Amino acid sequence: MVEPLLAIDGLAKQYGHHRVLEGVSFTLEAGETAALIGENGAGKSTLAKVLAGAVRPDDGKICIDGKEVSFATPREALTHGIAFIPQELVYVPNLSVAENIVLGRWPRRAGMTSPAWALRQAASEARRFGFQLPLDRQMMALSLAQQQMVEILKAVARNSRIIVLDEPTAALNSEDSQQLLDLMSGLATSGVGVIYISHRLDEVFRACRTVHVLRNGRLVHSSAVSDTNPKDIIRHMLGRSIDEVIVPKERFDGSTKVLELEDWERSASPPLRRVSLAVYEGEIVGLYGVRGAGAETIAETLGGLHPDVRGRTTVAGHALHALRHPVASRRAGIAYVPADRKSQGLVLTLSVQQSFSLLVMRALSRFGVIAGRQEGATARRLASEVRLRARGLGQMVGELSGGNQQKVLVGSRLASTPNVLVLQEPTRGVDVGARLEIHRLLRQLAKDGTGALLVTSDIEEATILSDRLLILRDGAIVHEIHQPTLSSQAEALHAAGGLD
Amino acid sequence: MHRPVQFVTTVSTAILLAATAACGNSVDTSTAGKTSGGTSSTFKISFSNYTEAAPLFRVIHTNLDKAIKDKGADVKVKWYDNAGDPAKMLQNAQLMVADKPDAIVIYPVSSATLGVGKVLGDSKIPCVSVNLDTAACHFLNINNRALGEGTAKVIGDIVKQRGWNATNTTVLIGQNAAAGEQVNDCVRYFYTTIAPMLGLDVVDAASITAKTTKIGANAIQFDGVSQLQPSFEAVKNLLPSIPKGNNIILYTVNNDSTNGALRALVDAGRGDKAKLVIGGLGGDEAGIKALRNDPRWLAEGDIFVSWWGEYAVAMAQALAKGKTPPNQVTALPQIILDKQTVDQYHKAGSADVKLLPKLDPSNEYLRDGGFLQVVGNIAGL
Amino acid sequence: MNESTLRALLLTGFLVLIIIYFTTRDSAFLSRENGLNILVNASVIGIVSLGQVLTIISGGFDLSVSGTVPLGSVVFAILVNRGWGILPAVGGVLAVGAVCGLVNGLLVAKVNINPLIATLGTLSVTGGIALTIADGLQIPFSDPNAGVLAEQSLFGVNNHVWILIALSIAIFLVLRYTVFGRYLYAVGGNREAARLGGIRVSAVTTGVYVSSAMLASLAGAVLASQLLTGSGTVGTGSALLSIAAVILGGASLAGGVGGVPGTLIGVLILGTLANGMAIISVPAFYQTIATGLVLLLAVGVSQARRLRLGI
Repeated sequence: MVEPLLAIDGLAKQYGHHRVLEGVSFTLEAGETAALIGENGAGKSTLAKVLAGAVRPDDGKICIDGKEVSFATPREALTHGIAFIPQELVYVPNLSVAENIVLGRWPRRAGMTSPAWALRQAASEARRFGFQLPLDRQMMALSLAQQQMVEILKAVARNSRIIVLDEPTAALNSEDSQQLLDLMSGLATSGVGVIYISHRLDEVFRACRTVHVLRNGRLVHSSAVSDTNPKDIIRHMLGRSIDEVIVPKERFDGSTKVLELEDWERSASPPLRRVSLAVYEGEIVGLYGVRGAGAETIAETLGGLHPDVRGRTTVAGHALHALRHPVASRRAGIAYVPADRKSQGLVLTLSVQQSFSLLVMRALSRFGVIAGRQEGATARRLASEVRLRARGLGQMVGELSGGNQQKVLVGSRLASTPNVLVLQEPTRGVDVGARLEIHRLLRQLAKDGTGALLVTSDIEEATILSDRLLILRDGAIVHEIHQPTLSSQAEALHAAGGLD
Repeated sequence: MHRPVQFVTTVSTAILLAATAACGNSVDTSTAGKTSGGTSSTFKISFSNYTEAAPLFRVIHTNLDKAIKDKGADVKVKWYDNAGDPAKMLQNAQLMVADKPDAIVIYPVSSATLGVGKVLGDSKIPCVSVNLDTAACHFLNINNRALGEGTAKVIGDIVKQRGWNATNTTVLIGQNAAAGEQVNDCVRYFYTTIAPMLGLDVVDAASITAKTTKIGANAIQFDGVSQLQPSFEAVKNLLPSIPKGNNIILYTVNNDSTNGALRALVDAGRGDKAKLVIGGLGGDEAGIKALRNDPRWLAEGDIFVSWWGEYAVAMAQALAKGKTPPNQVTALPQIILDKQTVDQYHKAGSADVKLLPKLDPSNEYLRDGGFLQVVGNIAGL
Repeated sequence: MNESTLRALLLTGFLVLIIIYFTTRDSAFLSRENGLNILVNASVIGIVSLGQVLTIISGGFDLSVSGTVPLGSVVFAILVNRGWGILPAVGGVLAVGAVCGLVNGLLVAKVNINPLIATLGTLSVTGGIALTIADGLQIPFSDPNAGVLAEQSLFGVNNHVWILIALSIAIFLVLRYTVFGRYLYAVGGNREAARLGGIRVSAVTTGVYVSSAMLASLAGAVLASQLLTGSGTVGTGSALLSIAAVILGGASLAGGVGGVPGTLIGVLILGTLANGMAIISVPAFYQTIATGLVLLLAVGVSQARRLRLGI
C-alpha cells in the first residue's frame, strides 16, 4: 500500500484555556486538492500554521510519506516540502520579482550573488513550471493576483510537494480567481498535494476533490466533494440546519430618490466617464466591474476620498457642493463602509460599544461629555440589529472574528440613521454564517426603507443582494440588470469584459 | 470596570508614600543612623558636588575621600550629585536637609540658587557654598579679581622689558558672559592692571561688561563660553581686527577657552613665541604642562580645584562650632605660578599638587579646627 | 482579570519592591518627609507626562516639551518680576504654551510632518527662545513670595502636588468621559479609520499638541516656583523622561492605548528611583542607566506576556 503524502493524526493545540484544535486527523494524497472549510475561529488558520511550522502542536503526529516529522521552524517545514501561502502575502516589496522568487535560495558562488544570476534562475524556474511573470519588475508594482502567482511559483520551485493556500481568492476578482483555480488544478496534476482553505463554497465545489470541515477545533466531516452538497457542508460548519443560502428579495417599488449622481467625471486614474445613476428608497443598487473599471472609485468618492471628481450629487433631495472630505460625506447623510475593515474601517483597540458610537458622538454627548447611558443603549440596539456575537459590549474589536468585526463596522455606520448606505466589499474575509447574516441585515434595511449602493468584487453576492445591478467598464456604466438572480452572473461577467 | 480600580490604586499609592507615618522613621529624630557608621563624635557632612561626570569636579570627591581615609580623620561625607542641573540641585538640597548632618556643603550648578537657599536656610544647618554663592550659606570662593591682577603683574613685568607698548600690542581677553559678572572679574581686572603698565588706554573695570568687545585702542574681548570650540570660532572670526604685526597677550577665564583661542591664533600664523604670550587659569594638567614647556605660557593662575574639598570640610567644621567667618568670602587656595615657582607646588613631571599656598586673612580662621593640619599639605601649617 | 488591570497591579507591585529595596539600604528612605520629597520632585515631570500621554495616545509624541518647560519657567519669572499676580502670570505662561502647541499641531496635522521631526524642530526653537529671553542667564524671582505655587498648604502638602492631582483627575475624566478623549483613542488607534469615519483628525491632533505644550509650559512655571528662578537650562530632559514614564505606564508608541493611572505610576516609579539612588549616593549617570534599564525591563516583561498569550 502506498503511504499517503501527508497524514495528520490527533493534532491538538491550545492557547491558555482555549482549545483551538482537538483530535484533528486526515490524509492527503499526492495530486489531491483538499478543501479545508470552517467558520472563523474554527481552527483553520492554526492548522495551516502548524503544517507550515510556524506553530508547534501540543499533541498529535504529522507524517510525510509514512515517516513522522516535526518542525521547529518554518524553514524546517519548507525543507520537508510543505509550503504555506498565507492570506496576507509576505514578500519584499522593493526587491524584484525574480529576487523574491529565489529568496532564501540565492544562487551563490563563494558567498557572492548577483541580480543577474537571480534573474536567470527565476526565469528557468518560471519556464519549467509554465508561469508567465514580469520577472524584473518590483514586487510592489504587481497586482495582487500576480503577487500570489509569484508566491506559488516560489513554493513549487522549491519542489514543495504540499502547498497550503489560505484564502487565496479573497481579494481577487473573478478573472484572477479562475486563473488561480486553474493553476491549482495544474499543480495537482503534476503530483502536488494542495490544501485549499476558503470560504467560497462555489470554488470548493468547482475545483476541489475532497472537503474537510472544521468546527470549534474538531474535524466534523471529511468526504469527496462529489458525495456532498453546499447545504450539507454549511450544516456541518454551523452545526445547525439553515433553510437557505440566499436571502429572498422583496419586490421593490419605491419612488423617492435617496441618492443621485449626475455626470460624474474624473480624469485621474482610474477614470470616470459621465457616470449617472440613482438609488431609490428601499433599493439596493449593486455596482460591479473589474478592478479599475470605476465601481470602487464611485464608492470611495461618496465616502469623500476623491475630491477631484466633478459632477452633481444629490442626497435625499439636497444638492451637494462637493464631497471633498469624509466629514462632508458624513454631514450629507452618507454612511460609507470602506472595503478594508482592518486598516480603513475599525479602530481595533476600541471596544464594541465605543466603535458603535464613534461616528455619532455628537448626538450622544452634551457639552462634549459623553452620555454613558445613551451610548450604552445605542450600542445594545445596534448589536442586536446586526446580531453581533461577542463576549460583551466591552470586548475589544480586535479580538472579534472577521464576520463580527464586519458587523460592528456596518453597525457603526447605521448608528446615524443615514440617508443612504454605501458599502464596499461587505463580506470580504467573512465566513458563511456571518455572510448570511450580513446579507439578511442589508435586505432588512432595504425593506425598512434605507437605500444602499453596494460595490463588491463577489459577483455572486452582487446578484444575490441587488435589486438593480449596474455593470461598469472603463469608467462608464455599460449594462443594467433588473432583479438579477444567480443565473445573471454570466450576463454580468460578459458585460464587465470579463470571462465569456 | 477596571479604570476606577487603577485610578484608586495610583492615588492610594501616592498617599501611601506621602503619608507613611508612625511605623516610619519620622519618630526617630536623633541624628545617629542617618549617615551611618562611626561614633557620635564623627563629623557628618552632606556634600552635593557640581557633577560627578566631569573629571574636574569628580576629583574634588575622590581626593577628599582619599585624604580622609589616609589620614584617618574623623569625618564622614555623604555625597550627592547635582549633575549640572538646577532641579537636581534643589532635590539634593532637600535630601541633604533630611539627613540632618552636622553641616552641609553645596557646589551650586548655576545662580538659580534662590529656592535652594530657602530650603537650606529654613533647616538652620550650617552650610558652605562653594564657588557660587547661595543665600543663607557662607561663601567659599576663589578671588577672581586677584587672579586677574596677579597674572597681569607677572606678564606685564616680563613684556615691559621686551618693549611691548601701545604701538605694538593687542590684549586679547576671553570672558564667559553666562557665568556671571563675578567670574569675569579675572579678565576684567587683568586688563585694568596691565594697561597702565604698558601705556595702554586705562579704563574703569566697571566699564568692561558682558557686552564689551573693544576696550580702548589695544584690547579686544571675546566670549568663549569657557569652552574650546566656541573660543576657537570666536577668535577665528575676530582675527582680521587684530592689527598685523602686533604682539598679542592672551588671557581668558579658563584653559579650555585659552587653548581654543591659541589654536585659532596658531592656525592664522600668529603663534610665534616672540610675538605671543599667554596667561593661564586653572592649575589643571594642561596649564601646568604648558607653564613648564611652552615658552609663550608665562603664568598660570592655579586654583587647586582638586583640594577644594579640604577647605570646605574645614570651613564646615568651623561654622558648626559657631565661628563666624571674618570676611564675606572665605578664600579658596590660589596663587599665580610662573616658570620659576611651578615646581614648588607641583610634583616634578606631573600636575599633582604637593603643596598648597599659605593661608590668608580671610581663611586664617580655618586653622583652629585642626582638619587642615591633619591633611598636612598647606605651607606654613 | 484583564490586561490593563493586571498591568497596573504589576507596576504597583514593582513600585512597592523598589520602595522596599531602598528602605533596606537606608531606613531614612521610608519617611513622610521623603515621600513628600518624591511627590514634590515628581510633580514637574508628572504635569509634563499628563500632556505627553495625550499625544502618545493620539499616535504621536511631543519632543518639544524639553524646550517648552524652560520657556515656561523663563516667561513665568519675567512676568512675576514685572509685578504680575500669580494667576495672570500662569495665564501668560499657558498662552505661550498654547502658541507653541499650535505650531506643533499645524506642522503635524496640516503640513503632515512626522511628529518626531516636527517636535524636534520646535524643541530647538522654544529652547532657543528660552535661552535668548533669559539672555543666557538665570532670572531670579525678585519677590520670594512669588514662589507660592511651590509653597506648602493643605495638610502640609505643596500646592503644585495638589495641582498635579487636580490635573490628573481632570485629564482622566476627559479621556474617559468626553468626546475629545474618545476621538483621541480613535485617531491613535487607526488614523485612517477615524478620518474615513468623518472625524476631524486635524482638529483633534492640533488640540492634543496644544494641550501638551500648555501643560509643559505650566510645569515650567511650577519648576521656576520651586527654584525661585526662571532658567533656560532646566527641564531639558523632560521629553525623554515623560515619554519613558508614559510608556512604562502601559501606553503604546503606536497609539490608541494608554491612560492616566499607568502614567502616574510610571512617574512615581521614575521619581522614586531617582530619589532612592540619590539617598544611597549613586552618581547621576548611574541613575540614568538604571532608569533606562527599568524601562526596558518593564516593556520587555509586558511584551513577553503578550507573545506567550498569542495576542
